[in-house]
Amino acid sequence: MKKIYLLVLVSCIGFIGCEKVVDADNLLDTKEKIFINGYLSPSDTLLRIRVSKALPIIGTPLSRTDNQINKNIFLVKNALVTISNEDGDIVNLNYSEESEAYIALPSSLPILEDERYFLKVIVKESEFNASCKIPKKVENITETVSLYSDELGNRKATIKLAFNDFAGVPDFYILGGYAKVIFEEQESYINRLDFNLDRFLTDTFKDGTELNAENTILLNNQDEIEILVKLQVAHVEALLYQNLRASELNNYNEGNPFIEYSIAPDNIEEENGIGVFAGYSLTEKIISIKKNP
Amino acid sequence: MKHPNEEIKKEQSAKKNTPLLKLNSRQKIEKYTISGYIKENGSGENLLGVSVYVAKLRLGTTTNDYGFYSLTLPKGKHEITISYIGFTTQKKEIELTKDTNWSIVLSTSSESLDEVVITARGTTQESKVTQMSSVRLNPKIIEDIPSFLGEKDVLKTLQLLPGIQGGTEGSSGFFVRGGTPDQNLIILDDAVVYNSNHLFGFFSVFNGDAIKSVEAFKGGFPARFGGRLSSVIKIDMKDGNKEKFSGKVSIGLISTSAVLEGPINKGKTSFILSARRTYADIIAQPFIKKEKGERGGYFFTDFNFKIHHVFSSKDKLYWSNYLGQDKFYANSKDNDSKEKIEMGWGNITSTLRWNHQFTNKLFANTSLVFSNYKFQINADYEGTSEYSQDDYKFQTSSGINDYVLKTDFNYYPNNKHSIRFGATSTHHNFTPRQLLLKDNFANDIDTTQEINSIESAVYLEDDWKITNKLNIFPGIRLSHFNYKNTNYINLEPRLALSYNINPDLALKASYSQMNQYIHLLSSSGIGLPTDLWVSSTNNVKPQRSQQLAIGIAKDFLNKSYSLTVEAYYKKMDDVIAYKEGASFLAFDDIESGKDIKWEDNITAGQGWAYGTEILFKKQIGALTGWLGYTLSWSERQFDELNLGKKFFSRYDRRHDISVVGIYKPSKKITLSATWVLSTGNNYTLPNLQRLNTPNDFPILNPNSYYTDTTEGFSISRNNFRGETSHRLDLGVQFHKKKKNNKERIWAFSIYNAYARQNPFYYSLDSSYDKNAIPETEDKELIRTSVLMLIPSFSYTFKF
Repeated sequence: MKKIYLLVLVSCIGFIGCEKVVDADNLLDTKEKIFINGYLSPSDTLLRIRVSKALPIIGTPLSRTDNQINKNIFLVKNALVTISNEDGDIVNLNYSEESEAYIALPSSLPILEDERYFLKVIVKESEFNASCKIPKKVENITETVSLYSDELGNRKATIKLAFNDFAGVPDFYILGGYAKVIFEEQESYINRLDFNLDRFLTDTFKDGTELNAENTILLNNQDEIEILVKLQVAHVEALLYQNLRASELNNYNEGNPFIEYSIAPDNIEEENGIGVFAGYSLTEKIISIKKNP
Repeated sequence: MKHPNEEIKKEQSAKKNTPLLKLNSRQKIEKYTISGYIKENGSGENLLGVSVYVAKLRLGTTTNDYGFYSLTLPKGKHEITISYIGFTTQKKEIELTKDTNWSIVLSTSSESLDEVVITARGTTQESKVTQMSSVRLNPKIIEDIPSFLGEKDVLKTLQLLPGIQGGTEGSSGFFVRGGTPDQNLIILDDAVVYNSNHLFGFFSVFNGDAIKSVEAFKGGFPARFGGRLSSVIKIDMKDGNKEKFSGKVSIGLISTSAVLEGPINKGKTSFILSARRTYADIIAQPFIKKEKGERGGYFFTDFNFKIHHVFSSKDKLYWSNYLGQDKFYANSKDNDSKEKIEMGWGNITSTLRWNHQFTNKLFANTSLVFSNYKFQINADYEGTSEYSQDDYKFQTSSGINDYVLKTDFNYYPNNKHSIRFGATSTHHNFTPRQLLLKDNFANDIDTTQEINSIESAVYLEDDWKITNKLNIFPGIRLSHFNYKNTNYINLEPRLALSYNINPDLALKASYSQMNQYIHLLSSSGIGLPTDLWVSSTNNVKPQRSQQLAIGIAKDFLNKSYSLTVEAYYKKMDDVIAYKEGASFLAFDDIESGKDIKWEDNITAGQGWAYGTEILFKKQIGALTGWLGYTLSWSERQFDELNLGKKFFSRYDRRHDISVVGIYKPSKKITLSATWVLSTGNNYTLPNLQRLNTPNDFPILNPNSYYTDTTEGFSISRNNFRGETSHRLDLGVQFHKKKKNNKERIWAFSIYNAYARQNPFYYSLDSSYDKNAIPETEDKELIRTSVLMLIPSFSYTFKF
């Protein structure tokens, strides 16, 4: 019998995974690129474009302790960055060490709904171009709020957010918000509203109808005097929706070999550049929830 | 047994003297029909695909799926040759003066070394059949070739043929001509088997002991098959020995299987029963450190049962059943509570078939079929003391039930035509999610999400011998699918043709259109039990394909070699895939009780697959085997994936080579070896890194409070092709015949004999340089390999 167990054991060894470091040079494309990132919105207080490098994931050692060293490896500080509109109005963006990005005031180029904007970035002798269009702002957000205690006695607030989709075209939305719970004596605290994956909404199969999502926040068992909730709906370009969603899903699924890796789209026209230059319109609404007397 | 070459020589000389050619076309020829069944000697098992051939007239037919044949010949004396793989060829003379019912019994050629182990369409000559892109596999070969852990596996054997590619290392999942696993129609006795894998794909569900025949179609699909884009794998169970009781017991390293068959009413009713169970969970118990009251493990089982009853020479009934199950279980018990957790999945199929022979030219079969696949997780927690009274019950499941009624007719009006027609209708009942949650402290949840649809088709096909050189095989299938108020109706033309340049050389071509109305949602693409079958709906269109293939088939008659070369081009439309990053089975969703929004999460696109396959076989002699080579491309394009750009599919392989050799130096020993080589699979891995996107967007991810400085990313799907895989498997069997036809076999095999570290998957891991100032971190590419040098043995006793 011992021999059989030994044989089983030997067989089991074969099942045990063997891990080996392999040379990635011939397997992965590791060509360096310029990475450009910027989102435009009529609600912007600053126009901001970040220009950096995308470097090979293998063969780029990074400091474990000093993030600034790492940032300096990536950031491109000597680029020429301009944004223009369809009328040919142009604004130059200058590099800001504080923002680690190229910035300009929106007063120099107003960002308007339904308008198209063009980005030009020149790094050394290479030019990179992209364009975006600002989606319409969602007119109105409605909400339904219910305060209750669950079976375990936990006090909760469920907030259902709704708005009307624009009919006739594919639309993309990102939802979010904050809940500030205020007490009389105790210090207030802030919860981010979590709509799970429903925070990324499309009108696929629901064009022109009401779209909604629901969020539940757990309240402390002490009596609060008020909850101030900021509801946010961003009507975004498809590219921005897909990009943020892919990034979020990749983080969520990291290490899971059974989930396909998501490809974040980009709209930089030139081969050696990647990134996102996209528009959005933000609608916000603040509501106050007070406990029933 | 006569050498096939002799047949051809006779044929060639007969061509000049064919009586038919001498007849005046205006003269009326008296013709009569011989018909009947061809059976195996000793068991009475009906044999399908047996060639019945009159060399002088160059006329012939093959038995249908139930062993029936019908051949209309001119009045007179004829020499009829009956040949079948693994059986001694018989030549019989018959004086035909009236319609004749003639049943034939064939003896196995197991005593002879001149054994044909693999053949296409049941004959040894590829150049003689109209059908292309198909292979009939003798179950004997599945027994002979080296097996992984002693488990004889039908699907892994099929993977050794060109055009049928395995997935990851050790997996029985397969990809046919650039298709996906859900595009393979796997039929066991008329019943669709939805999940053909055990243990996440390491083994297939088909227990080789109960199988009579395996036939694979990669293209040129006959009109009787439909519903999938890429392949049809038709598996037929044995009917059971009608003459005497016989059986077989196999004891392997991880499982034991047994088969028992015999007559219930001699000559009239027979049964076959086969069962297999793994016992890794039982063997592993002594090695598992566990607390008192704890029990856990994994096993899978297969159970086949079939009854065959002969009412009369014209009416026969078959009832075949399959039950297969995989189960993980963990039980625990202490003073305060007991807990039981189970995760299982499996298929159930049941087929009731009635054969009726209307005339000696018209044969019909009607089938009632039930097919089920279910994946479920159950958890029960029960508090048993005053300190623990919180009972909890959680059950979630998904699956599919099919209820099928189908009828098929074979009509043989004359010796030029072999016509099949029929109709089929399937009621699909999908359950993407069923959830029951009972908790002392929460409201009960009891939800079931259901989708019902009906898939129907009528078809007509004709194997038509136009001249001695030209055969065509046209077919038409009209399919219909109904989901709520949505109806899809599609006409699917099929055509195959074969032109014999010489008696041993044929040019072939085929065209087929297919529609697939049900789809498998799979996050992984490797065939996990959690993958979900769903229906076409008003939003999700059927998948469609068109395939064109051309080829040559050459028989080298002096040396019993054959060569087939085929090239194919397949275009697929409305194939589905998850949108970027979508997966409805994220585990945090399982307990939510929310309906699955699967339609929102999938996207439709198109695919292209093209390539060339070469198969060179040696079929007779002490050494048999084949060499297969595939050169192929498989591409996809989805507007919503990979930025709308074309990309190579995950299992796009440029080269696949397989070499199979079986050597029988004597009746006592079988030596076998297989060597396979394949280009690496495609993976999506981050190849670049960038600074994390700054918080310029005003709505933050609520779950991300901390982010690293950099983030890895990839700019294209399947941007990385893994390393080439290859391995050698070796096997040896020692046979010993005993008295009363008893036999014992010791089989030893080694999987991956030279311990090649083939990639199972790739990942990125961190490496640190502690000598650097400041200390740095880099990434490195890690290859994980499994299944190196796996020895196994099995003991089989036949009686």
